[in-house]
Amino acid sequence: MDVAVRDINDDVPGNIAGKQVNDVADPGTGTPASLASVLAALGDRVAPVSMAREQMLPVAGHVTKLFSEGGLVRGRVLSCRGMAATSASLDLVAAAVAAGSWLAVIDVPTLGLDAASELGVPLERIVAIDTSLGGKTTAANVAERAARWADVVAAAADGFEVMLTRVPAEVTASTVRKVATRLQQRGVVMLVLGDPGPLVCDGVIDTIDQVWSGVGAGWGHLQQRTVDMSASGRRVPGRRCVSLALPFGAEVTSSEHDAAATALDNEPPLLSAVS
Amino acid sequence: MDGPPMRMVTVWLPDWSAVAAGFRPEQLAAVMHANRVVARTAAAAAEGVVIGQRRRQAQRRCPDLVLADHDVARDAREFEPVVRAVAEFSPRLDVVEAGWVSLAARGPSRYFGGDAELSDVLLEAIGSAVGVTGTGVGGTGGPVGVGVADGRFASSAAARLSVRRGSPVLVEAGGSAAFCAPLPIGWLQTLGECDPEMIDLFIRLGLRRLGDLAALTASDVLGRFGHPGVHAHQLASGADHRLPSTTDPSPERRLDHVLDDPVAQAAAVVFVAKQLADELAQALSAEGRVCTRLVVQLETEHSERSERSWFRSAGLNAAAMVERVRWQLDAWINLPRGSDQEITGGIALIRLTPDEVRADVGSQLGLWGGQSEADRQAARSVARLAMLTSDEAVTVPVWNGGRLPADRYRWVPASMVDFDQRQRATSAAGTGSGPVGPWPGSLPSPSPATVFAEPHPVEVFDKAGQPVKVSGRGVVSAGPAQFRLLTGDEASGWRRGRLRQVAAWAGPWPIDERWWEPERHRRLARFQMVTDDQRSYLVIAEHRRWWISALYD
Repeated sequence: MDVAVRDINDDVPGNIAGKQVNDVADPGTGTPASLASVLAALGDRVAPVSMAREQMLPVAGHVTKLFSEGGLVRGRVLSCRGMAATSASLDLVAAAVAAGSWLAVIDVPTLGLDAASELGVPLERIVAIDTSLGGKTTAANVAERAARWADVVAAAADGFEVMLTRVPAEVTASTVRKVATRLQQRGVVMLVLGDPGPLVCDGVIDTIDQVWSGVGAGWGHLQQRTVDMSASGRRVPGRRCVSLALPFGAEVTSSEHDAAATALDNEPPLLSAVS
Repeated sequence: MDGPPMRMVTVWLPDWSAVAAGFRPEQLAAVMHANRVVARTAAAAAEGVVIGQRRRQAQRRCPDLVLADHDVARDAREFEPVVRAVAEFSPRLDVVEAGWVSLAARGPSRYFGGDAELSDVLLEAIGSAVGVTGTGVGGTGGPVGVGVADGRFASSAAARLSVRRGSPVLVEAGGSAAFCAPLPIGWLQTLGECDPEMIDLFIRLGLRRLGDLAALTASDVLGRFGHPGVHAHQLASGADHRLPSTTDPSPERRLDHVLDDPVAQAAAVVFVAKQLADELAQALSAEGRVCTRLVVQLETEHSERSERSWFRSAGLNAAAMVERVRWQLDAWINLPRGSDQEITGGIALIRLTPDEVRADVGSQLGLWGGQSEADRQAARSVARLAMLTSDEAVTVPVWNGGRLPADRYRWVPASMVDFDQRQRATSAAGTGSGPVGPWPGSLPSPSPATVFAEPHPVEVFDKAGQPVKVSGRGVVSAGPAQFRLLTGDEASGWRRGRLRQVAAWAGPWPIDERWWEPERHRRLARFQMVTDDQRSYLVIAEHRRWWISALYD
């Protein structure tokens, strides 16, 4: 709410607002009719309307197709699944973090930072939080750990606009509801890797298929993959699909797709003799 | 802004990190940070090891080079005897960083009968403190430079010059401008006064010496370069006016915290210091000021005291203040037994006094940079998260460099990182082909998105079902055709997962790392394997065993 009001204030260009206020103040021109229209115009401006643009974090151009709103809607929880889940989650948050949001990585100690950087996530705005406190999770402290996870997420919601996390298995449904409410209040986008457990996800980003290119039977190296991603879930009308080349982020057309699919069967590139 | 700047004497011990790491000057040794030399001994310098060099270049110049990792805390700790020796002459001394101390020269110089005499007694005192001999280069503990001049900047420059010349450099009163004029403009950056970007700009504009900059009029410099430019201009013209122009901060600005239960753990003291520092930095920034000199006072329950004044030209933010408290505490705890003011009890009082503040003209912020509201919120949130979990649980990535994905970044506690300097620290990282250039021997992009700190063991078989072997020369016995994960552990027997078929593979890419260090030596071969369901793995073969070290998921 306070965010919306602040942004609206920013939104009113100083000169226009000033001009209108002058009109109102001037008794010569201030007829009741114009006053009413000015007030109506001002009222429209300061009304707490929910502007879709204000409630969204940007995503890179090639994944906008996955979202009917064209971006990551604040306060939502997305689950990333499938073979390219981690890369997909990084790809989704890259534009938002690059635009100045901070990313909290909670309980994902295996995050590959090189990959994050290649996908365009500025590493200087990543903070990792480990709720296991370095100890192994045992049957005895599992509930304590789940409670700590919820506390950490709630505290991180104040300072971070994007979160990437794994949900601990033992977290209870009531705790998770509190966490979700908190995320919604603070307008945080949370991406969940792995099993979300009792956490209700607003959308699921799934990797349907991926094809690697650049590597063969003993030659080459991994160069690129085409990933078919889909978005579905309770907040996603219908099912949206996109086919992407990672890590370069271009949308793949079907002919390129086929070329990549057959790349694996190709012979290694032969060296040609130079005379 | 009237009158000449205060006369200062600066003591500079170059390559202090190498001395603190316990190397003797005749030893061939260097201290490394992120694969670059940050300090080296005199013998290594004579062999051609230069600061900023890559490890490989340094080792090419000098194959017997002994390397140590850089440790800021160790540098500060080992520097304590020098600070104590210098503090005998004047209680009003500023530690800029480990190896670099400035103090007001007028009083002690009058007492000892002149700047030259003061320099001599200082050298002698420092020499006896760390086993460095009297004059300049040579001796047993490394060289010491002493410079006396008007203003902090000029005296620091003189101290650096003194190391090269091998004798103290004394600039007569009023001679700072003439002294600075022939110095290269890059010294502004070396002495921590200017951004590298600004120096780069000056050089491209043809201002190669400090004298060239000083020759411009101040108003032109202000118009073109803003406040940071004016600051550089003032220093270059020998008008280093910071100290006299500042007023003493009001006493209520002083923050202290009395601990009812004296604490013996350093971490707890640092925690309290963090709260104080946050409060202080916030109060100052609300007035649009920044603290450039901070006096940190610590007192134990047995009323032993440690008091240090810390100086930083760019201004001390909360994180930098905490870092100074940490250094000071660390140095105090590690004093040899039986020395004067040795610590015997828990800390009962922490006091932070901003001794010198100046208007915050935003000199440390770049044109596009600066701190956004999101950055401030994140910094606050990080502090709260550290309270909720522990200091070590909240971490940020720092570029480390290496050939294996797991080596390339290190996670360091967020409390130890200065968030203002963060942009520069990580953007210098790049990923293989950033500003530091490619890292030879690392795998090309794309990089794995999941990197295991501890790799998972696997078994790899060829078409005939025989285990695949990699010879010492990097030859594979047969192409990998399938592998399976092993879970459990060796003692209780491995549980074998299902066989996965390898559709495509590439490698081996052998690496032989740190062969000169028996305990950290690694010799392994890397493979990329794509299974028939199009999942990709980074598999390594090491000591006749196979491991999955990362996933391209």
